This record gives sequence, C-alpha cells and structure tokens, in this order.
Amino acid sequence: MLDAFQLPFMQRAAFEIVLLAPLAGVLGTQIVLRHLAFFTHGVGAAAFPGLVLAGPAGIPPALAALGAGGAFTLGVERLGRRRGVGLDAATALALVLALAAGIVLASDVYESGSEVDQLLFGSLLAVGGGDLAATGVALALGLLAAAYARRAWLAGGFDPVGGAALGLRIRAADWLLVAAIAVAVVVALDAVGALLVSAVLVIPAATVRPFAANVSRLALGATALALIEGLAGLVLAYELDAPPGATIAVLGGVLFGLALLVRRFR
Amino acid sequence: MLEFLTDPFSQGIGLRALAGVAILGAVCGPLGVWIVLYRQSYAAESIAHSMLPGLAAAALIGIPLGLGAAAGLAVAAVLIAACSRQQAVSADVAIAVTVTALFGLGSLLALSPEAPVRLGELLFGDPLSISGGDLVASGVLALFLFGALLAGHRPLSLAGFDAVTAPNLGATPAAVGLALLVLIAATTLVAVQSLGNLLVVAIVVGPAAAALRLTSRLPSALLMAAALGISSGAAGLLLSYHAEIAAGASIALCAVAAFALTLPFGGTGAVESRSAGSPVDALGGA
Amino acid sequence: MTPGAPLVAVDGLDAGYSPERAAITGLSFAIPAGRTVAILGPNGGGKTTLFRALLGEAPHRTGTVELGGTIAYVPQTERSRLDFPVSALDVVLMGTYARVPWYRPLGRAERETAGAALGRVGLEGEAGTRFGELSGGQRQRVLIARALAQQSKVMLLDEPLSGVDRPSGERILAVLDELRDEGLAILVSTHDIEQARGFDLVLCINREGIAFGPPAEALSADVLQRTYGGELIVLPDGERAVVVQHHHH
Repeated sequence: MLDAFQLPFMQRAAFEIVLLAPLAGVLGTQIVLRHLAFFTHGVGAAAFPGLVLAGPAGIPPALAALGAGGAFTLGVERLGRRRGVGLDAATALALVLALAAGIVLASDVYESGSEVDQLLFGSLLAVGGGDLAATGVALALGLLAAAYARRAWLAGGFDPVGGAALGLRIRAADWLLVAAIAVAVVVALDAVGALLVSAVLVIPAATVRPFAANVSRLALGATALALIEGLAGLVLAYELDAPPGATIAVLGGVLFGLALLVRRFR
Repeated sequence: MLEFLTDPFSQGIGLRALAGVAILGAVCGPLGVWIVLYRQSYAAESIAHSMLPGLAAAALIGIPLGLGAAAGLAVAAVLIAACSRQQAVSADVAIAVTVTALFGLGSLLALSPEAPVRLGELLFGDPLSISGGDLVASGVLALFLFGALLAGHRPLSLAGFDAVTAPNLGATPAAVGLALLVLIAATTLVAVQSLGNLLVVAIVVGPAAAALRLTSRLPSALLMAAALGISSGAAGLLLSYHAEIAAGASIALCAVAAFALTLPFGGTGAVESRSAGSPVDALGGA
Repeated sequence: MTPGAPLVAVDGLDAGYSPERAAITGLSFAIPAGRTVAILGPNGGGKTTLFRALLGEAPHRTGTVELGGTIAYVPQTERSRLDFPVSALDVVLMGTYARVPWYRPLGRAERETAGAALGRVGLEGEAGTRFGELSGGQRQRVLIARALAQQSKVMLLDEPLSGVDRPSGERILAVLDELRDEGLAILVSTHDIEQARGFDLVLCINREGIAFGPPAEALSADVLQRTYGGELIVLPDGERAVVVQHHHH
C-alpha cells in the first residue's frame, strides 16, 4: 500500500496534507470552540463563483477564491450587525447566492462543464508546486496569526463581555481569526473541494474536542488527527480509485462517530 | 407585455414547471418561517447536502430516487439530532460533521463510473424535467407537509424560540428539534427536483426571511412567505426563459432577491440580531 | 498619579448608544482610594452604560472619565462559556495576559500571581478543575480572582452576589473589604438595598445621578423613590425598602 508514495503526485498530495494539518489543528480549534463552522462552510461555497471567473478573467484561482471569500465575509459581517436580520439566514442566503451565481457563470456564461466537478470536489491528486507554495504561505500566515492572537482568542471566546476589559485587542484579534480562516479555506478547497473544506478544518478538531482538557491539547490532537485522516484517506482513495476529498470526509465522519461511541462506553 | 409573462408557460413543460415551483414556494415559505425563527438555516442548508448519498445509492441500486433521498435525509436528521445531544458537541459542529461526511459519501457514490445520474442535476436541479407523475408526488407530499405544519403550529410557537437568547438544537425540547429537522428533510425532498440539493435553502430561507422583515405577526408571516415563495418560483422561471440561464439557479437568485429587496426596510424586530461586538459574533460565532 | 487624588473621577458624563438618546446625562462623582461603592439603579437606568463608559467602551460620550490606573471588570458568570476547555487557573491567568507580550510564554511570575489570586478567594484547591464544573458561586469567585490578577487599582463588579450561594457570597464580600483596606476602589452594581447600606458610599442612578454619598445620606426614602419609581416596595415598618427584581438576561 505504501508503494503508492513512490509516485510523485502522491508525494505532493501527501505534502499538501502535511501542510494543511497544523491549520486544521490550530484554526480548527477556534472554529469549533467559537461556532464558526457555518461560516467556514460558507466561505468555501462562496469561493465557487470566484473560481469559475478566474480562468476567463485571467487571474490566479487562489486570488479569485480569496476575493470571493473575502466579499462573502465582509458582506455577512455587515449584515450580521444590522437589526432584524437573522444572522444564520443571512449566511445561508449569501452562500446560496454565491453558488447560484457560480452555476450561472459556469454553465451559461462560460460553459465550464466538467470543471465544475473539480471545483466542487477538489483536485488533491493534481496539486502542483504552486499550490503547495500557496498552502505553505497560508500555513505560515495562520500560525503567525495564532501565535500573535491566541490569548485574545481564548479570552474573547471564553468571555466576550469581560474579555474586552482585560486590556486585550479582542476585535482586532477576531478579524485576524476570520481572515486566517478565509485563507485556510481557500487553500483547503484546492485539495478537497469547495463543499468539503469542513472535512479538513472542522471534523478533526470536533472529534478531538471531547477528549481535550485544554486548548493546547485540542490543537495538537486535532493536528495529529488531521494528518492521520488526510494521509489514510489519500492512500485509501488511491487504492479505491475514488476522489480523495470525499474519501477523507467519509473517513473523518466515521472516526468522529467511533470517538463518540468510545466516550459513551468508557 | 403579456407575452413576456406567458410565453414560458404556454407549453406543457413550462406549465408543469410552474405548477411544480408553485407547490414548492407554497410549502417552503411557511416552513422557512419556523426555520428562520428557530435559527436553523444552517441545518436547512446542509441537510439538503445529505440527500446526495441517498439519491446516488438509489440510482445505483435501482430503487426510486425519492425513496433514496428520503432515506438519506432521515439518516441525516437522526444523526444530527443525536450528535448535538452529546456533550462537547455543539449544534453547528454536529451539522458540519454529519453533512460533510454524508456529502462525501454521496460524491463517492455519484462519481463512481456505474452511477447513471448526472451529478449536476442532483446538485443543481432542473425544474423543467418535472413530469406529471412527479407533480402528483410533490402535491401529495406537500399536502402532508401542510398538515404537519398545521398540526405543529401550536407546539412550534409555544416551544419558545426566544429571539434574544438564540436557541440551538440542544436547547429546544428534543421532540421539537427532531420534528423540525424531519420537516426540513421532507420539504427538501419536494424541492430537490426543481432546485437540486445545493440550492434548496434559497427557497426555504429567502421568502421567509423577507416576510419576517415585513411583518412580526406569525400568521401574516406564514402567508406572506408562501406568497413570496410562489412568486420567486414564477419569477425564476421567467428569468430563466428570457435570459436563457439555468432554471434552478434562476429561482434561487429570485428567492435571494426577495430578501435583498426587504433590506432597506427597517425590519420589524420579529427576528432579533444579537448585538455584535466582534466580527466573530457578527459571523454567527460566539 | 498624585496621592490623595480620586481613583475614579467622572464629570458631566453624557453617554449612550446613539447620539440622539443618551442613556445617562450629566453624571458627576469622584471616588477616593480605599472605598467600596454600591451602585443602585433600575434596569435600563444607565448602570450598564456607566460601566461601559468607565471601561472606555461607551460609543457616544461627552464629559470626562478619569481613572487612576487600569480598571478590572467582573461580569456575571452567566455570560462566560461553560463548555470551554479551561481550568479555574486558566481563567485567572487571563488576568495576566495584558502584561505579557505575545512572543513571551506565560512564566512563573504569572502563575504565582494567578495562584495567589485563587488563594485569596479560597479556591486554591480547585485550580485544576474545569471552569464549567464549578458551582455558580465558585465561578463568580474565579472571575473575581481573574480581576485580582490584573492588579488594577479599580475594580468593577456587575451584581456579583446574584444567584450565588451564601458561603461564596460572604467570602466575596470579605475579599472586597480586604481589597478596600489595601487602597482599591471597588464599585459594585447591585439591586440589594440592604446590602448597599454596608458599603462606604452609594451612587444612585436613573439616567442621571440622583444621589452620591454615604448610605445614611444617599439611601433616604426620597432618593430611593426617585431612583426606582414604581419598582420600589416600602415594607410595613416604613424603614426598609425592597426593589422588585426583574428577570433579565
């Protein structure tokens, strides 16, 4: 089975997973603790029209995805501040607007056809040097943001009211978090697709959470689990000739369920 | 001018499509009101994704798609409810894990060489492919849903969707939470043919969110949501016909537009937003 | 900071959430070091706005607020997340965060400060217990310890005794008195008029300052009437008054 890793494209795919794992651990911890799962999913879906436009507009896909994700973030954030707007409703509508726009662009304006599948389900087996570099940059940015803002994230997440009075720049730290998540989503969707980013950024941290006594252990555990799930899913996908993103997602779900059962019967 | 409005519906296909989306709008609108009030838009959006494995499996095995979809949705609803009852698993995490895993499973099945259904239709829908038989099935399901909504009206309004404290699935009484999920699942079934499982949430949330911005009285909101739902469907078909763009996506765009058009109005306070201090609050986190 | 200067000086404060409607107007008072102050007022009468103004967070403001140093805030424990994986010690350590630059790990000094603060509120034995598993009274004490760890000269507490068991409540009041003796200014918002009589100073607010002074002067029947209006019930002996409690989030 491990012969698979003799192949260059498998090595690159594995390297991509290694780079994504710490993001899954560090940012995934915040996503899970601070209820940002829907937002994470939304940024992934919102990137879709950006990706469709990237080719025809001649801009790098990652940049287009980041732009679309950024627009989604800012739009929902502003809506979320308005009175009388259900926040989850606004997120859902912004998300579906992005998907519908992407579909119209893909099928009727640009007639992208099969690329849609790729956009939606990722292309882990086709990552090139450029993709790996982008993920590396995202990783560096994410870890730097975490190093800088981790205490504000913890204090602000635990107690938004009292946390702000601790002398920490909670708002700035939270903007940094949101930005780091958006960047992580953009590189993750290259690997697993726009609709499965949660498989990387949410599931590992969610699985480890009930077992983690503190935030550091949660982040470390989630990193390790993301690494295991990613690599195992990659090998499994290779053996079964299945899309890797979907395989990782299913594996993640199964492990989550097993973890819950283990807790039940301890 | 009149031709502009009637051209798309002058033939059988168009007329059936119109009937199909009308049923859709009439059912999804009122259900959407409950979903918005209970802040379950994420569940509504995601649970549609979980239909994919059911649909794909049904196609592979050879049983009617509707059965497969229903099975997939039922499994998802139960899993989500079960997960969110666990300690250290919040509602949004329960949804994220369940739906992502199920959607992954669905893609594995749907992308496999033996799957006869085109993934695109499953994901994005095709209202123009609705047959007479499909209409009847939708109609029956819709009647069931209307009944369920009527029967559930009292318990749903009493269970307490205290707008200020924003309940999640774990906080509402178990029966209500599960019932809501099952209703969402059943409604998605009606909608999936026209809109596909990625776009269903538009017709469920859009008209309802718009209605709740225009009125705070529950009966008015339910009726208005139904009316807006039907109009979005019809408008979407018109848009699709004249602009020559995908019909499912057009309907979704019109449903979102219905909400966007109500933004300049102040909102009635029927839906409270939490005061947002940091961007994490504003983005639905805490 | 000139010795003898008040630790909290508010002058002509207008503050509120929108420019048109001020929640409080023309508020002025000064609190010297080493005092406990009870802040009384109806819900919606401006106590929260005053707190936010003292913390530098009230969005629209004229007038001045001067503080003799940093200010520590103890919110009600309901607002914090009970499901976070943090121990009591972790929470108290948050009080030291502002003093430690991001590139430096929390060190021995911070842990000792936090441990000492936990000891002062009588919870050194619970340092490793998960915050969410503590009782309401214990959680409130942990939040007070967090404020202690900030080592500020001014402390603001939002109804610290509401819903707290008696032993914890007594412990809390004892600690506040100790802190006052050490020269801090302690401001406590409360609905309990009887309790307020035990403080050094009382401030009554209802959109404006109604009274400020020792309880014997500030808690007259007239002042209480103007502060609480219809929420007040005067007990049959004519001497004591009770505020109708509202259930609020």
